[in-house]
Amino acid sequence: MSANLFCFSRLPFRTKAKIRLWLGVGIAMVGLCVALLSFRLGEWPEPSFMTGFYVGTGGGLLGSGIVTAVRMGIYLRDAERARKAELEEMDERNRFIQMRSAQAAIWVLVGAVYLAIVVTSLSPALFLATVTLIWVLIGALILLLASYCICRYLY
Amino acid sequence: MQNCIQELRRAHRITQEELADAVDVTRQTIISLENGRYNASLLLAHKIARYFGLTIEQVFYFEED
Repeated sequence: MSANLFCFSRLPFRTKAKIRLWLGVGIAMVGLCVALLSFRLGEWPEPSFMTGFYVGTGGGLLGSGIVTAVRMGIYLRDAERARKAELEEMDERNRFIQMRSAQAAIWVLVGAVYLAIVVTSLSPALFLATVTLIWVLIGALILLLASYCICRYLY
Repeated sequence: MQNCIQELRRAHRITQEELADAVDVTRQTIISLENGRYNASLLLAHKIARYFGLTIEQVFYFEED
């Protein structure tokens, strides 16, 4: 995740690698904190589910943060690998494919949430889930629109 | 848009990897260019033409030309 941050920036690759290394360390620490939060879930009605959520996402963040930090450390020490990574990142065709893929993925996600709303609304017992998903979809669409406007302004 | 990158590369006896390194792209991009599956940006077209010592029009052309 943080390995692709600033990929459109004109900063030197070495600077980007340093920023991403520290971001990786930060994300790993956040992941560790989130995983440790699972020990404070006694008051939740479904502690086992939330424990799994916190441990799973915290572990994922921890792992991805460590991998990012290690990769960036390797790039800072090995100029040849850094050059290859920079080429992969700055290659115009790769960027074009990434942008098109991200665009398609966003619309697939929005469609999937809408489908989930339609499915959960068929059962009265899932009313709360339906309302939650509707608010999630509305929030996601607002964020999508805001991100789009900000990116249009920046780029 | 068509191009004669493959012919130029073979005439100069260079590999796709070497050409990719010289113009700061990946080998996959050179492959896609040669297969006509991707159209280079103006900057990339300029870099490739300059590498071979030619003009952009001598490397890239429209099919009906």
